[in-house]
Amino acid sequence: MTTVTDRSLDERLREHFGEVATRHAVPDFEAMLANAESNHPLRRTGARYAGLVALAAAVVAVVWLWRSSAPPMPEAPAGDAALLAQLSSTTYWRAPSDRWLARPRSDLLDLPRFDGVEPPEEIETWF
Amino acid sequence: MNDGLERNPLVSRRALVAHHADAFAWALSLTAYDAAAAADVMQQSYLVIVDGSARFDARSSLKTWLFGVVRRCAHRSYRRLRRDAAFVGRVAAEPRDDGATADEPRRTDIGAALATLSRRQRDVLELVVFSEFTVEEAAAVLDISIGSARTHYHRAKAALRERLGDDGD
Repeated sequence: MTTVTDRSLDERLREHFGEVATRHAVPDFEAMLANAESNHPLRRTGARYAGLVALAAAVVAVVWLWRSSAPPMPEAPAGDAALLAQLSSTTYWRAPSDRWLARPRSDLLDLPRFDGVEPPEEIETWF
Repeated sequence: MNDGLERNPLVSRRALVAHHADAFAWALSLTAYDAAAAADVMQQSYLVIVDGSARFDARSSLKTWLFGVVRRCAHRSYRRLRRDAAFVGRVAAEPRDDGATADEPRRTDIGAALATLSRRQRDVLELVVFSEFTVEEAAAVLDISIGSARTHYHRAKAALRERLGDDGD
């Protein structure tokens, strides 16, 4: 069995890594640095998100066109306005008696306690 | 003459030029010796150096810092490629019945021995032996503890010594 010393191992490793590295041409440093310097961060960001920006603009344009071309909402005739005014002034609901409101409420949910509510016959008289 | 970069004033162009070839060799190693990928990693590295995203504060040597930047760019851009390459490398290095690897029958050279090491062991070994870093600097490049780097280095050496010694029988 051969003995591999540290020195011979290091030499073989250096030779191997060097040989593998020299198989490929080293790219031009100046060109790379010039390229990096011409790539402003904002420009890069703009280029990276150009597609997204264009898509968002297209969506906004489509929505705007759709809304501008949609038929206008029909206006209520004059008779409807009078009916609406009448409906809004009509009371369909009457508050229960003060006696019912004065009953104790639940501590947790702030709901009226129904255990003390009057029988239905009496409640019916409210309406 | 001050030739520092505008957003990285402590990084001089001359120093970058001096380390360019070594850094490219390191990028090659990180990208499984894909020259185009390595060039892309170098371009990304110079981009983050020029725009100041990676800032040199002279806490380490410029070379150590540069190699660390290259490693981070390679990891960010080529994580998937490296995983695939590592898988392919593992499969290729698996010994067959006759003791040869899949792609190169009866190859017993140092390249085959290196292929049996873990990625981290190979990285530490390459940085120390080829790129002439100390183990402490290699730890800084790889962003691992010095103890861990030292362990990787000695285990890698021992594994290679054993494998290459056995091959000489």
